[in-house]
Amino acid sequence: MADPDPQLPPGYTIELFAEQAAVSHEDVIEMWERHGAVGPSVSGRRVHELLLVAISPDGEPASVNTAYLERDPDLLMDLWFIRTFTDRDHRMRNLGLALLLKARDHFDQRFAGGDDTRGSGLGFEIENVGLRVHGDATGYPVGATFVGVNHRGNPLWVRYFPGVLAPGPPA
Amino acid sequence: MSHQDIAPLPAGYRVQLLAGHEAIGPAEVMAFWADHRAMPAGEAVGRVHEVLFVGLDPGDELVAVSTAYLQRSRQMRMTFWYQRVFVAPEHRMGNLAFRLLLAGRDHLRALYESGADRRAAGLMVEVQHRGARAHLVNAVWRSDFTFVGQNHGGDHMRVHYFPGALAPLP
Repeated sequence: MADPDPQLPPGYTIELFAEQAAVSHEDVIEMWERHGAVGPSVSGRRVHELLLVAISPDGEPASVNTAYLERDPDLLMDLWFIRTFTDRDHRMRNLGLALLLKARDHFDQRFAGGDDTRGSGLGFEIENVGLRVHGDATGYPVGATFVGVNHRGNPLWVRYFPGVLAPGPPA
Repeated sequence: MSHQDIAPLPAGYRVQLLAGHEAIGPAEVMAFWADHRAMPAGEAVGRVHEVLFVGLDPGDELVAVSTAYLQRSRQMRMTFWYQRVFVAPEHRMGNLAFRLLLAGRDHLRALYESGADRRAAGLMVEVQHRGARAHLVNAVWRSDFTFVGQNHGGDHMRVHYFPGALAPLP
């Protein structure tokens, strides 16, 4: 499946959060809490998982994604899981997808270059009941493959990094 | 991995669908399994109806058999074709087992794409052969079999989805 057009609307940019200065941790926390997306008890920790930020023409955070590493007990592999939140005022602009594609490329490059080989791929867990519609078993959302229902009862898609190896037998 | 990506079969070997084969039928397959003690006779009676492809040597002797059956996967919540391959020990070289696997993949996928048989959304293999598993450790094979976990015996489970297959979300 070909990736959808990831082009950004005019004036928007996507930056690695750690490599930009326009948007601060506090700006992101304010956006999350203003929309009730992430509560105060979680935002202080999650803000340190920020990976990418889409910045609006006004210099405000329009969309962000965070990434965390978690071991899947069925696959016996560590995967990067990505969460994305887009400010309601900036939705319908493909920002979430653009961030996802950038995140995929970022992790691919770091894995291929040996800079970060902790994760074996990207995991996409569909927790939102509203999104639990029939989806392609392959290709969703960025070339990921459906690998089953995970230990939390949620459907899981995985996109392995190129060349990654399957684990050895369980101990 | 396309058929061109793996070494060709040794000269004279070939893989054919059992259905319609003039010289080989269920009786010959049963005898082949029995000769090689591939499985108990009681099991062979049931599995002979699952035979998909056969491998023949240069002398037209039966040297390999693949079978396929439908089974629901609890983990995937989908029904898959499960394929098994048995190759006579003296012919376990030249990728004969893998050729049978790919032939089965292509055959079942064609049936799915044509609408002739859509009972399963893909093909599942459990890689029990230790040599094959050690050799084929990439999470994604070029033949488009993706690692989806291990069974209770520690065998790798890999899935190949047919084009357009849908994941059955709760």
